[in-house]
Amino acid sequence: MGILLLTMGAKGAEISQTLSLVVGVAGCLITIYFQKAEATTLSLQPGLKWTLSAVPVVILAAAASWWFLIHKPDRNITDLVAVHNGHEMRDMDEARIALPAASGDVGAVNSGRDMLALRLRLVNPATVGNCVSPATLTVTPTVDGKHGMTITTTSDAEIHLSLAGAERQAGARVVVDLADPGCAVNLTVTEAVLYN
Amino acid sequence: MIRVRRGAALIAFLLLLVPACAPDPPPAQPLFGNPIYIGVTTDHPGWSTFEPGPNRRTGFDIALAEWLGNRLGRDVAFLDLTLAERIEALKSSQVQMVISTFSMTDERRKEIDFAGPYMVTRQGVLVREGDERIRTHADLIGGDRNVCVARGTTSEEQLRPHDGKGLTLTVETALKDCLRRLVDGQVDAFSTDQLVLRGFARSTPATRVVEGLTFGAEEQYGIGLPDQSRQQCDLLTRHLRTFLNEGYWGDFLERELQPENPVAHKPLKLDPCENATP
Repeated sequence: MGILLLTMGAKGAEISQTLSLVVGVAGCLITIYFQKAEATTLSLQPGLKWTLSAVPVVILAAAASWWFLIHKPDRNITDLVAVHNGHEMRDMDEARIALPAASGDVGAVNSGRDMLALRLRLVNPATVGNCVSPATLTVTPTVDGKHGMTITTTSDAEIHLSLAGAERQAGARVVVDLADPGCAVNLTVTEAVLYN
Repeated sequence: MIRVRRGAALIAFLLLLVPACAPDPPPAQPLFGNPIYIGVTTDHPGWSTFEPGPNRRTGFDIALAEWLGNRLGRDVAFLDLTLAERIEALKSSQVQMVISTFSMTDERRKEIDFAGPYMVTRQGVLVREGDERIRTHADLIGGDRNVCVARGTTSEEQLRPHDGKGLTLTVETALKDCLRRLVDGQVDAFSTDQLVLRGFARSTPATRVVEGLTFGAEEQYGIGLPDQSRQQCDLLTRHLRTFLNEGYWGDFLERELQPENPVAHKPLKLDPCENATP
């Protein structure tokens, strides 16, 4: 389970936190349960013991309610992302990544998730040229027409963009920096996950 | 119960001490054996040649291989390869690395790893001295010329689309065979990396490099390594940085090739090594 969460990177942080809370509460309950076996050495009043037992149960119930009723699970939107001008990109060419704009669970707008984990891949369609490995990508998120913080990355590396407050449109601008001006590469999105 | 807790605490404390008292881990396996088997070609003047009589190897790639062996504290054992055998030699573990005007390409990275680049050049054209028919790229690909390339090279890849359209491609196993065909008048031109052609032109005065005619993607020479060689790649990249920045690169280039503009062939930065696939 831990290894699975590690492989998910930041996308697994929320699950880790929730899991930690559950394990912590379960630990409290077990402790209280075993305290009963040591009744001879403890001097807690029966009423206080019931209160102590009830607190973790309430916390657990609140966590479960949050997880099942309020929490938004990670949403993989890779297949819904569109890449414009990402074909045969030359040095310093710019492509635009458009996230699905539909409100609700299938869109990046008003979805209840503020972050996007994005993995971009460059593909050299030619059989010659050392294009992909030395290339860098400059990614700038755009939320309702406003530019966010620019991140520089490489092909196949995961980045995290903030989409907080998106109400109408969310996406990103990507500029490729190719070391060899003779190169032409295609830009694809291999993973796009909305998360909190 | 208190006694049990004390016992548990003592056991936990002792368990924490175990790593500190454990014997030192065994030394890590060396990244390269001794000797290091390095694949090279034998017929590239200025880059990698072998004279059986005096049993002597010369050229930039040979000098780099020996310099690396020295830096790594290993003897070097050379294994002769043709250009087309380079990838297979790495995949079959016949050699631990290939240093042989080996162009780093995204296509080749699917099968092997590279450390580098340590040289940058482009495709060029060699013709017979006095032959002025090929001056531009259009003359080369649209003039119905017979052009020789070596099999398994990026030169073949870049001219193959024009074969049968504006030129006729003659494919040979070794570059020296292309040179022979050119000198004998069997082909009109011989195309490969321009820096390699400069070596041939120096050794064969009846030929010349067409000045100003370069084409295709940059050819960036790297050290070929078997796939999943991240640690070896990192180590060689560190040494190549020294090689490039502390004067060795310039000295070897001047000694072996003497190009007109050496700076144009010096890589601006080294590529990151590929991550090992889990």
